[in-house]
Amino acid sequence: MSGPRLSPAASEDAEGELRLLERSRRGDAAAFSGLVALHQGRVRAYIAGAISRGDVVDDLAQEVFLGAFRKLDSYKGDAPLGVWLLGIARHKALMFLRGELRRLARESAGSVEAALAPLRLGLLEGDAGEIEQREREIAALQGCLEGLPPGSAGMIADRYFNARSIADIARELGKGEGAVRMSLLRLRQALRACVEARLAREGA
Amino acid sequence: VSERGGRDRLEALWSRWQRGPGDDERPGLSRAEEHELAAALAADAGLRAELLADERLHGTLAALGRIRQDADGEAFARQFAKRVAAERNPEPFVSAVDRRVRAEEAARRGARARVSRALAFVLLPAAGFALAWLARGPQPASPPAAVSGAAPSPRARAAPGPPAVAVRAPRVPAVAARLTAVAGSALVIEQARRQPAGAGMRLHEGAGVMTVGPGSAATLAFADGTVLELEGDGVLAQLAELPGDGPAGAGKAALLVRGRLRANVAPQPPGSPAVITTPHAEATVLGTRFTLAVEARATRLDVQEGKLRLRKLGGGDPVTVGGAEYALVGEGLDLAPVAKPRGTALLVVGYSSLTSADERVKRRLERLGLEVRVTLAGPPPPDDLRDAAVVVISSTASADTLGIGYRELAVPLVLWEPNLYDELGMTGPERGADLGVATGTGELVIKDPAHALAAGLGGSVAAVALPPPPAGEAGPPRRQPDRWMSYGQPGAHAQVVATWPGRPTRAVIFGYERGAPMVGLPAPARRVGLYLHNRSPNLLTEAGWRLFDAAIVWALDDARR
Repeated sequence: MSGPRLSPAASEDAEGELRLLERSRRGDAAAFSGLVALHQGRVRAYIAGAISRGDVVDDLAQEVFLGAFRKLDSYKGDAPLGVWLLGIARHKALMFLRGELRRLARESAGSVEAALAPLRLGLLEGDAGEIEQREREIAALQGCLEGLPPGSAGMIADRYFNARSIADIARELGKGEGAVRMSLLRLRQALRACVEARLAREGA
Repeated sequence: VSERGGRDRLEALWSRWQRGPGDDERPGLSRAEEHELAAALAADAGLRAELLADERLHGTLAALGRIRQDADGEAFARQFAKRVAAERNPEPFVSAVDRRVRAEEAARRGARARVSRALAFVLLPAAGFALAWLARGPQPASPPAAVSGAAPSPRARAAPGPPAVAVRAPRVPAVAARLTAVAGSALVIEQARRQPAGAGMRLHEGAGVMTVGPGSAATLAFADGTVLELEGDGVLAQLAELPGDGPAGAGKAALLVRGRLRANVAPQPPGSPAVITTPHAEATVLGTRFTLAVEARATRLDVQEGKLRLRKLGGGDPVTVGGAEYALVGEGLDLAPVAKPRGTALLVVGYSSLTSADERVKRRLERLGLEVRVTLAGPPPPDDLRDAAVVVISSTASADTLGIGYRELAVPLVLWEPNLYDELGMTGPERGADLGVATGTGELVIKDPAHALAAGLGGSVAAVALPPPPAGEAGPPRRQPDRWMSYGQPGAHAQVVATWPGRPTRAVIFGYERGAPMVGLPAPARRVGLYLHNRSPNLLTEAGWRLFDAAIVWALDDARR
């Protein structure tokens, strides 16, 4: 199972990115849209790691690129463009999560969301120097997805890539919905273990 | 066994609690179950870390799924491009509009403009050849060699026909206006350079002014007494004197790229009007007071005194807009003068760059004759509330940042953010029962066709035109955000006008009369809950918009009483 491409990695892409960047700096919005197309995957994936609500993820990602376009002059090229964008993404996500924390404290004290909110925020607040690590995690995840056995890969693809409901999948597999949910939970646990192992190997 | 069993149960609860791609509601955990899970999370740091890591992966996988469907990022980039267009990056726009204006100007003026140009060439010793060419008419001839001091290229030498515009002699730009006052942050843009603006600075032809931020303003005065005031995040570019048709000389021209421009234009020479161009329109004025505001997808002209001629760029007949009238020009809008606003609507949204759905709502409010002020979620801004006839709260305005200031506000409210219903006292607090968002079919069932909120409709009404499911997809449509609709279960004193098909307790259009008991307080003014959600204004049918209009009008009727 091949995952979607998240970032420009090849050298020809890097050259293309440089050209787009130069044109963008001259105010060429179409060129910047090219950069958006190149980097949207990694930005959306990064935000999704902090905020699980799909509608919020894409809206925040749009805000990230708008913010970047407005202050492109401040990008000095000290870090790769993708890392700079993820820094903006982190800031936007932090703002959102802080608002969520206040809302949940006011409206939903004692709920699961309220229990998790400070942790989500804390995780992201502590993530300042870990943007590149997050990039490596996502790359490792894509590798792990490709290594899944066909049945497991099919279930992940149905649920996440084809957006099929739990009920649909359960019907097709002749299982209960609870069993499908638990299978997906176990698959995610296995994927996490795989990602950790890959990162450990890379580190070694 | 007990510990393992306990862990299994918590994981099962967790897996039911999680939302997945396309889900619109939390899968069913009872309140007791949710409390159980929350208590376990509160007590066990290891469990919290474990489940949070799972949620992180869950979210990442869901995002990968969305990204996979848009493998090249084209759809996302297109959406971005639309939003950037709304930001009005001025420079490419200025040159594009400038080209268009010049082309249209040339077409309108026709032969007379060519003669004027020829006369100008007479004054230029180096343009003798052009004079000869014009005197002889459009015959093949060589272009002048010495206009720019450079020898003509072989290609130019060989090219027959009229001289190119480039043979116009360079000249020192004349002073077009002076800055008389500057507030906040403002810049003068001249010959591609920007410098801080200050009172007394001269603005030459071709120069422009940029104001940055809501409190910023720059006032320009022309020699004839015309005053232009640029406000907020604004760009006024390409100040120029227009060649006059009349004997009294030049008129004026400028491009309002973005922002709000208040103008008090002194009487202009006959045949030489002042022309202000925006991304959407051209306003021609001989002398009057007016305000032009360039917004994301439309230009709004408000005339305080006198008359203006307004023409949509790209074609169409001009209309005359007089005092006590305004007009909107933009894509998909019929250009017509409208009587002065019925009041001010405060539109509360979640993003500084309006979503396309919120933009549609704003335009609709304007079509209803309302002056619309947009504010971000947060405590109600006192200045904007002072003269608001109605407050409209979009679901993009997250309830968490909205604050509690709207609860007791004695101004009619129309909203489709169900997470606010309980805070405002319009429903009880239980999500999924008293209020919520769920996947709809786009249909509503009108329960009270005689009520003004029903807009004269009855029975089952298709209010949202949902997109067809993707090709090849069989069975029921997938759950998608486009299909989300808000609902509430209001108190007994609410007027329930429409409900969810097959779910009569889910009210999708309901209102409280001023003073009617709500949940915990009497309605401080009329309150209306609508079925919309973040994206649905993009998909409303004609009936859907009628229902929207009816909600606004009903709310306004309260304000007028």
